[in-house]
Amino acid sequence: MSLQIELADYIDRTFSSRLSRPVEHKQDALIVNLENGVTLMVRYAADDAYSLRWSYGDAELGIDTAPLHRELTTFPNHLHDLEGKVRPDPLTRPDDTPADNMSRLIEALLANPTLGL
Amino acid sequence: MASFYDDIEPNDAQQLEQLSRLIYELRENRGVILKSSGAADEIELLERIYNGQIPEHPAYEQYLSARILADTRETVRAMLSECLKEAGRT
Repeated sequence: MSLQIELADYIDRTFSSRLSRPVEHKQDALIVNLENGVTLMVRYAADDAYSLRWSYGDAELGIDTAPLHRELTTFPNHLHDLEGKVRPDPLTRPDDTPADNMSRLIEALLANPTLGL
Repeated sequence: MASFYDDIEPNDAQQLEQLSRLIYELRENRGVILKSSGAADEIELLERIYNGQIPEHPAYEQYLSARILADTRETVRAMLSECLKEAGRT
């Protein structure tokens, strides 16, 4: 089974009561709609290659592993904040499991869609 | 002319056709993504991002999408192979 399908199953099972509808499968991405209005787009190609971008109203943020920001303590993973500014990633780790990373992110977004930024 | 599906049960034939179509779609969709960035494959696309030749976003999402489509295609190809075995064609 592909990583994306495993993740979708995990999210549906673990957060079923916190989603506004089941995880939507695109061929290249998953769309996760949280009960608080957050829409999260998940592209997880490998444990260390992912992009997690979400919108909440007009706000758009994202975490990804594009290997460009060596100045950050969390290189390669980083956060694009509300203004598009690049910051250290406070939530995910490429050496952690995709399921654990997704759990931390979804819990954080349910608590605060903009992570307080 | 004999059809490839002549000796296969209708349900098996339908499943084989669906998997074959999905493999084709995945290949075509990966091609569209790579073509939009002008890269021949995922490695070249990542190099262009890394070298600053193209903006980080949405190029990195395109890179991940191309990888996911390629990986999914391999998964479906394996499923097709298993279906063919079960249908007695290999």
